[in-house]
Amino acid sequence: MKAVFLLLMALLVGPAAAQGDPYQVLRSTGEGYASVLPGRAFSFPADHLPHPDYRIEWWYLTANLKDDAGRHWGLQWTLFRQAMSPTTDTEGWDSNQIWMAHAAITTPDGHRHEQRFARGGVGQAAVRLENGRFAAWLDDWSLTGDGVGMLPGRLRFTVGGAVVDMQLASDTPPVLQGRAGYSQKSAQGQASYYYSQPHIAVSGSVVIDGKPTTLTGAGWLDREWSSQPLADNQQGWDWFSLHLADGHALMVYRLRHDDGKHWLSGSWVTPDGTARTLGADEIELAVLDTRRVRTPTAADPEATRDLPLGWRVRLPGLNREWTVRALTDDQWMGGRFPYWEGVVLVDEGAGGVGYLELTGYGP
Amino acid sequence: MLSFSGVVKRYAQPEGEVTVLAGVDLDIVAGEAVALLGESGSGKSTLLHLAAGLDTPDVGRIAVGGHALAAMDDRALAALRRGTVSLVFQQFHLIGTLSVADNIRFQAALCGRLDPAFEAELIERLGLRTQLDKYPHQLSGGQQQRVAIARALLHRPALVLADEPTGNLDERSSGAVMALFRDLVKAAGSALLMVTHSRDMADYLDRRLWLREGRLHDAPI
Amino acid sequence: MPRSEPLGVVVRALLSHYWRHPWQAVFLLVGLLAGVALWSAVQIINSHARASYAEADFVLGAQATHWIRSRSGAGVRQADYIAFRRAGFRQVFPVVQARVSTADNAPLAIIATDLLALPTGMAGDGGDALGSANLDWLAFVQPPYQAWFPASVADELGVAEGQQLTLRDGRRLPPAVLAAREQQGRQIFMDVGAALTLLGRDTFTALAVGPVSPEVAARLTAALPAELMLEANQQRLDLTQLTASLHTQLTAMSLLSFAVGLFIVFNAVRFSLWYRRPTLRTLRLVGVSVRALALAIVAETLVWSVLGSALGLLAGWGISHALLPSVSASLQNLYGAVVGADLLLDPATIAIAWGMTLVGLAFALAWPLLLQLRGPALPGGSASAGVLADARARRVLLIGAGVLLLLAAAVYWQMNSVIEGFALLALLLFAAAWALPQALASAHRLLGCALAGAPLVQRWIVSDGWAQLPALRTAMMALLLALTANLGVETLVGSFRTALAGWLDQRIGADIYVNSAQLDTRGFVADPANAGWLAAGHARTGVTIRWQGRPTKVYGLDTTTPDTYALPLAQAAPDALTRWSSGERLILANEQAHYLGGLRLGQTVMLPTDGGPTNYTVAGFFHDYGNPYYQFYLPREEVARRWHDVSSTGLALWLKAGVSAETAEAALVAAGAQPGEWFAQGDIKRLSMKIFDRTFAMTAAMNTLTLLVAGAALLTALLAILHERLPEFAQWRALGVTRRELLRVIAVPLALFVTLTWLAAIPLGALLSWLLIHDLNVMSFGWSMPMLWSPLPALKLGLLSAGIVVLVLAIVLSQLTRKLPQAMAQLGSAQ
Repeated sequence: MKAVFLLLMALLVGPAAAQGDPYQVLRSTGEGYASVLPGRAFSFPADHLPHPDYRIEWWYLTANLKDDAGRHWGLQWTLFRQAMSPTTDTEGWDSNQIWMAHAAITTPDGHRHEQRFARGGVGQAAVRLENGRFAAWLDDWSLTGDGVGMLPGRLRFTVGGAVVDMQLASDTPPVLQGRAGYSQKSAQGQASYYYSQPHIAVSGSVVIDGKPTTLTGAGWLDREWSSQPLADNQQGWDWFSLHLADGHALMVYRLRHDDGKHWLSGSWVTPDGTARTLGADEIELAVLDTRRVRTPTAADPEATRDLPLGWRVRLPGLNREWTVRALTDDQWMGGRFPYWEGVVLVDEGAGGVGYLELTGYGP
Repeated sequence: MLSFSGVVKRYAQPEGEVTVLAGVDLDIVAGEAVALLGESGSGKSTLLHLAAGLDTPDVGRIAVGGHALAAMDDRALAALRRGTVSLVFQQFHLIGTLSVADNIRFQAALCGRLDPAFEAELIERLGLRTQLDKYPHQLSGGQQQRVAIARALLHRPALVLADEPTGNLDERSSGAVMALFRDLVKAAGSALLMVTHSRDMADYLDRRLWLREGRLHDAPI
Repeated sequence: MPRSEPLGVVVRALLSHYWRHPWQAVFLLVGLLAGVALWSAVQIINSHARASYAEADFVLGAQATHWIRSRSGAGVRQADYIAFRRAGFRQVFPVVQARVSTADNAPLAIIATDLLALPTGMAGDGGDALGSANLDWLAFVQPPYQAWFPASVADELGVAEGQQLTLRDGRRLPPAVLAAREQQGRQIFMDVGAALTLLGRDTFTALAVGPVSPEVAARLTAALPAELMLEANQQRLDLTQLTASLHTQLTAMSLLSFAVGLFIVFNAVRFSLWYRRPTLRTLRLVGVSVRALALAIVAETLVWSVLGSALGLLAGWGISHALLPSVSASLQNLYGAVVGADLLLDPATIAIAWGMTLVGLAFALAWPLLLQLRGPALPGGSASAGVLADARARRVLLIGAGVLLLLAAAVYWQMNSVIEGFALLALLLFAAAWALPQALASAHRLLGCALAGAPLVQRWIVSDGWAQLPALRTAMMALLLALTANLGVETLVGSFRTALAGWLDQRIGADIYVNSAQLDTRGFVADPANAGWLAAGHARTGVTIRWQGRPTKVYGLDTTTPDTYALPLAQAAPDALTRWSSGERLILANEQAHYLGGLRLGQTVMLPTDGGPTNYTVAGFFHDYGNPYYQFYLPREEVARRWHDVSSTGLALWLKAGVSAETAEAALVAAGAQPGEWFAQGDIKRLSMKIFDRTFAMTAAMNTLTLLVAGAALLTALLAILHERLPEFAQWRALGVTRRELLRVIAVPLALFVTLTWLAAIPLGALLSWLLIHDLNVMSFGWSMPMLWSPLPALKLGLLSAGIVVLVLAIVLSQLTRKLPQAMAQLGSAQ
């Protein structure tokens, strides 16, 4: 589950509504759009491309990287698609598709982020095959495959003056999350189609102020689409994607409910890409420390928030547990819909690295 | 010529209603010259205004030449003032844009009763012969009053109403003007009701009345 | 009174006068208010317009420091735009602008962009274009889209929320929303997708470029496809230069009304002075020092100036809102300047308004009061003094008028700027106004002589003019100013309208005018398939250069077409057109280049061409009404020879006799033109005249207001006369004067003076319009035209003045009827 939802929602309902309940659009029934049902047959590379019958969809990439000096870096690059109406009118200015992109980089010196918007249908932003190659872009931010698939591929974007150019490759198959790609989000039946590529080898360079830095590390790609992913009583979520030192990959999230009975889910992926879905009773999440963090937004440049930046993650069934802590507090995404997303260290870095996303925390 | 019977006039004042005339009866016959004396504020001028139809009584009847003023509309009153009643005030109200000669003829011209012989006599006796082409602002106060007198008499009105006609003149010349005024009124054949506070001036006329506490008396006290 | 006596007592004694005579306070305030209100209204509008020019390099809230345009004028392809965005030039955003006309031929300007692509806000803060306007932008960017109408435009067109306005060619705008964005001005704003669909285009008018570093600009230039060019946005500079004249004109008109307002003040003050003579005398006799009195007078002046300017500014604020739409229309029609709807009252305007009021009051109130102080405490005979003072005042004014006239003559020989031109007009107007009282007195005297043998009552009625003249003097001067200005401007506008209509008849000779980016105009004319219906076609080409620092269009004309050899020239060398056509390196320029650019017949003009500067000799000047820019005509072949990127600038088509417009339209559609890209001859003319009328709506409004102010001056003067002379009128009534005679005494001299003033205004108005047409208009806009004098405006104004007189008299008569009885009852009581 990704903050994308909320960003899109805020985009849709405007600033006035964002003060009130920005989640409402995602809770609306999605009537007229295609529904998410169990038992869908996934097909690659076709499913890398957009599914315009569904209301929302995203291509979501994070990467934990290190420079030659062994310092931690992080990248986030996301492309969101939103259909404004149930019609599938995708070409020309009349297109009902809207695109949004987010990018962020965590460097040893700080955090930079940007957001962008574009109309669909006119070529300013799209995900499609171009000259027989996979291409996803908004303006000059792009993820292009070497072939019809997303990977191997190349990620290029600029964020806050940093120019990012990364090669991506993976030799494991996509992981279908939930029940064979059907990812349930609540007991009421809200769900999305969800697959991931948790094992991506990432290498390339970041140029900041004309100074290039070579980086290598591991990336995580999430693909998700849905028409009505949120339930009425869900306020936000805490989402982890971890590259463990032993080569395993772990995804866990909890959707926080009003009544404290949160919705927990996740998956456990072996180094060779074999995945096992984790049920709610197999995951334990506990907050270790909450810190006051500067969380400026355009509307409130002085805002601060209490954020849970230290966690204990336990998988009792596997008898494994880790502490997960933010690399740095300053990884705030103060865009149109604000959230915290950034690099985390597992067991002080000895156990691995990952990304943590926190949404729905008020100032 | 002029008759008041039971005339009452009240004025609203800040201190309350004041009765100025409390039942005045008066009769002036044609050609008679009557002086109306009284202290300041006794209502002399009010009585004069009522006689001229410039103001209306609250109670009582006023008639000029036998015609009741109350029965006259604005036009009839204007006609009355035009031909029958003449007014002479302390302020002369000459018409500044007309020559002395035109001023003298003004009222006579309005009622179409020009009389060159009488005009010549008035000019002669009032000593205005050399002033005829001048304009009012070029005359002295006494000269202006003489012009006003000539204007009031030329058309031989039946009744002349005068309010301190010599009030703006010094004592010496006022006596002379008064005598002349009286004589000319007689010459015009007009009756005269003159308001004055001066016994000396009053003595020039046929009869004297005193206005006291809203009523007319034949003697000072 | 001891020296320690507080000033407050004296001030109160002076001001108590207004308490007892509130109408004098009202007149004083009305005068100040009328003067300050119109002046400040124009100031507010001017400063607002200037503020808008400062934002002229902003497009709908986003700064555009550069433009990317097609060299051929064909518009920018969408693919090129997308390529810029994908290359990372996120400062580039699309703009579509077009002029269309409504079903009843009202001109409409359309502007469109992609809100999502606007480069507003900072990095990481994109999408602010969406957030800043509280709008349902989802509806804005998708079918059926929205058309945003500024409230004033919606009002004029009678468009209601949700309504789809139908254009002349039957196309319909998206549903209307009453809203406006920054720099929208009087344009209709819609999504770029909506605009492209509406206009049937697939290219953008241009791409706007937000602020870029020189390094990015260089990369952008390098990335430009051959057919596109990057140019700096000089709109701000250009607009400030181009509109300077218009703003000067507005200011001049507002100063005129300020002057007329001051006349009311003079009037009011005259009577407050007259009434307060006894008070001043008494105060001095009880020992108040002249110094204390002077201070009290200064205090009074301050009180009035603050009150007057505050009320005036308030009214001006209101008036400016009422006038703004017509000024905006003028600016947009003449210069394409976009003026927003939010008005601001800046401190400078407030300060100047107060200052002007203070100076005006110092002259009208303080100075005469102080003069009175300097005289002896006991006055001489007041009646004679009044008449003498009036004669003296008339003489002084006449001498002043002579001095002004001399100054005017001096200015006339030196004049070469618009401001000097208006100074000349002001000098002339005031010379005339100051000479007027003496002229009225002389005329009155003549009439008096002529009536020497008439009956006394008639002579009396006419002679009363002498008593009225001192009081009516200033009102008549105000009336003269207003009438003259009205007549002058009316003749100017009428002449311009006639000249424009005649010019349009000559210039718009073809049957159909096409402006289509898709159409190959020369090919269309040459196509044998069209020979059946096409009598002649003129495909013009053009290139935009900068000449004398201003954007200048050089047109390439086909020398063989009917409109070219019938080109109406304002000035021309012998055989100019023939020689120009035969390629003698001759050039034709518009009048603007002559009058504003200083170009002369036979002179050499150097133009920047792609092959370097090239010289041409000026063979003639053509009329070019309504165009603020310089323009040149060259034979089409010459333009093609000198410039590479020549764009097609329109096609004129003459139909053969009996051919219907439908035939031509079908051929145009077949050749690739879109419906709406052509206009019939009559439509263009109607549209032009409509734009003209809108442009001069402001002038008419100002004229009416000035006349109203003059009417107010007349009313105040007459009411003052009434109050001053009420005892006299009562006395006359006591002498047997009827009410009708009394009214005649008031009305006849007044009518006489108004008639004389109106008569004086006729030649003066003609002189004014002559100067406006032959000097000021030429200096302001660079257009010349013949002056057309017509008696109709004078007759109309005469009737209007008569109406005002009748109205004023009715008011005076009702006052007289109400107040006379009391005055009569008080007759003889010593005052």
